[in-house]
Amino acid sequence: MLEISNVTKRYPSGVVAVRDFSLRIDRGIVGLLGPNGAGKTTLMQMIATITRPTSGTILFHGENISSHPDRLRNRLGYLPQDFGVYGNLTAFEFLSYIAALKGVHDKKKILSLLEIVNLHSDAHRPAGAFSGGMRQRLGIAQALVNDPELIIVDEPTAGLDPEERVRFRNILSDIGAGTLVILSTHIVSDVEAVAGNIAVMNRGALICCSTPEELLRSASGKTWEALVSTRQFEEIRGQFRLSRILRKPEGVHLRIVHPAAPFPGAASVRPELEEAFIHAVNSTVSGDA
Amino acid sequence: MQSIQRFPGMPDRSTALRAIVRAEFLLRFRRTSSIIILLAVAAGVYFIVPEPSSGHSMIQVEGHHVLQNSAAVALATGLNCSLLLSLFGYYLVSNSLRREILSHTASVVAATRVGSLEYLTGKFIGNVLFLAVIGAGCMLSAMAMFLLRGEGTLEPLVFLATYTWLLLPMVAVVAAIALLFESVSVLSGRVGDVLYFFIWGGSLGAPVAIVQSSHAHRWLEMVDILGLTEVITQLTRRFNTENISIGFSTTNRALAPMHFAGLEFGGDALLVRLGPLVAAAVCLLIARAAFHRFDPVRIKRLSGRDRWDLRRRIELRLKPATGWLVSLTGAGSRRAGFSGAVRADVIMTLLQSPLILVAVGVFLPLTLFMDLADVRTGVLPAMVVVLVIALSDIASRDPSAGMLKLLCSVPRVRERYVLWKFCSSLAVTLLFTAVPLVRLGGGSATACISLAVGTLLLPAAATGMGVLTGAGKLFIVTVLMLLDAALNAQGVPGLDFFGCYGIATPATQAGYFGGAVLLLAAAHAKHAAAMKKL
Repeated sequence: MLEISNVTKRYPSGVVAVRDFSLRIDRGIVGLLGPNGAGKTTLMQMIATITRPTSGTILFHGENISSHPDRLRNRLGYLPQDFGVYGNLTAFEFLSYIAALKGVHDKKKILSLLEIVNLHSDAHRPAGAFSGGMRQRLGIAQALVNDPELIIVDEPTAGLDPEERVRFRNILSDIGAGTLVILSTHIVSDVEAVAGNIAVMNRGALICCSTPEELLRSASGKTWEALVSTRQFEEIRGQFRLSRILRKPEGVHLRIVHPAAPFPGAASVRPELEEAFIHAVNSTVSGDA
Repeated sequence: MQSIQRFPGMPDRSTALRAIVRAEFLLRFRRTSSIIILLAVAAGVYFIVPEPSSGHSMIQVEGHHVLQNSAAVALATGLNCSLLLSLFGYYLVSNSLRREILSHTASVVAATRVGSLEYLTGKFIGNVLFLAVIGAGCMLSAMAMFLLRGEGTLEPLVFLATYTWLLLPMVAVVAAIALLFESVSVLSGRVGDVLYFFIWGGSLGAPVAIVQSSHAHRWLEMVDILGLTEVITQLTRRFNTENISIGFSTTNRALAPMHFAGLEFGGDALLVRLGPLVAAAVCLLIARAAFHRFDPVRIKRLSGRDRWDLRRRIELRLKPATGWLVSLTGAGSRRAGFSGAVRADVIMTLLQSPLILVAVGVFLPLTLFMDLADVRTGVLPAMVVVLVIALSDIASRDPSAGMLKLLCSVPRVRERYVLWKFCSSLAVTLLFTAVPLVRLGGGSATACISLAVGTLLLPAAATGMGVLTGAGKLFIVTVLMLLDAALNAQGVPGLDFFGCYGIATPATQAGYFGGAVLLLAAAHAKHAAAMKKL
């Protein structure tokens, strides 16, 4: 469905945001993970036809979206990272506006979408008065209004409280069947909950793309747990990637991501997805596998 | 592979266009300021339609009162509306694209199938509609005033035809220029705001020049956005004299009143109004060619690598020098308290716009070595224009950058925000006016006091209007209008607000000083009310 080939985005300042990125994806939810500044948003913007690649091609159903952006736009739902609303339009008016831009003028559909995202009771309130979570739900409603085949959501849960995050993930999970959803985030638990595939990006490049299980397997034998004294902790804290630090009366409980046992006494444990992500990102930085 | 030639939600162009127009109109109309504008228009009409028995007239011909029939009232109120709307209208609608970026809806729109021309056309029509509603408000107010003070029967169609002929091409051009300026990066923002003022000034002067040249360049009439040339031509022909004034004027009641049958909307009259419509279409097409469609690369020209954005390039080159100069003068040294906060804001202004220091460097030798009379009449007006650009966003930049709440957590700033911004703007103003103040102090006391008052007035107006409106546009247009009036009426003491002619009376100086204080007080009241809501 979506084929990204050797895509590079170089800004006029000379900064290369995305570097020779290639990926082929079909249906389902794909989590795009990467640290801040990895190039995720730029990649999302290129796929959403908002900005063009400096080089490389992005094909949607075999058609180059740079040459025929409207072919994709007809089937695209896009929720940008910094989604905002017009403060003095109501939720219904705002959604009707975006729907009209996308060629949808079915009032019932707009109302049903507001119901899906649980905003039906606030449909006629000015969207400017909405909380962050309500705005994001309105954002997902506008992304879905044209029954898209490709949905791009960029950092959708940033700033949301835990309950809103779970609600948002559930909505994504529901719409993921039959469509391609690209969920870009740096919050590992978001993709862990919904994504069938995870692509990891760092410094503009694709590091790996695999299922969560494969990603976990790649970090197997590279995650360690140890209990150290406070003094020992101060000595080692700058030397290793620590995925968890828990201070307790008996000492400091650590989880460490490292290719080999970091020090005597550290025990190998099953990695969690966050640790697999840390491993993947850092293995490209340090060059080890 | 699946075919993607047809999609059930394929946009219906007219529906999308209607949606853009509707949203644009609603977004503008659902603001308190729109109600204030309509009320101001109604109040303005009340004052310009005089009571016939008062000895005043809306149109006078060689001292004769022209009967206030529908045609006369429609022409006089329509022309006044056209003059003001052609100026203020631009500033009202010149934020269509910027608003999308600030409200973070831009990328959602950019990812839809709506074409760029279609999108800009929707914005254009929405803005034309909004300005037309203001014009319609003026027309209805004029008709209401006609019922009170008119001389004859109300002829709604005459009002409608006159207003449409006068206003429609004008609002089309204004809305198109606003979009054009927003689409061209170098013209967006304050540079475009100031440039538009001069375009407007030119459009006022051009008709007189065309008529005085006996229509030697007829094609120029086609770009007369106000239609003044045709109005002057028709009135001159009708009354066989050039001694005609439109607007509030005194007439000789001993002379017999004259009758005005109305503008003739023949072929020529319609043709000259087609010109501005064509100009609007051309502006729209150029805007389409320059439109960035919210591409972040084209919007974020802050890198300064864009070879066309000369201002940005110069500013970025100057930034290190500005920082060095700031540290050299010790202005950046750490000082606590309110004065430290003021100093920090001045430094922020200079670092954000290093061209201010370049302008100071240009004005310094001029104000130091030129003849004092030349400084007053030549340098000070230019200084006002530069100060308008330099001061316009100091008071409004924090709220628009989402910094207001953060700044209000700084000790002493929350309660004294308006004073803080005023002091910071005053310091920037003094960088320009300190030298002429000292020189005028030794030469012309009246001019010196006027300049001192002007030195307080400009930062007070920038702060007051910036806080009250949340933008610098009202400040820009008000001060430039005042300057334009002062330069055109050199002998009027009441307009000498900056000591350019040294003729302001103490009452004038006190009036401007009082105005400055009132603006600051109003801004402080608004800020205090906003802080209570936090």
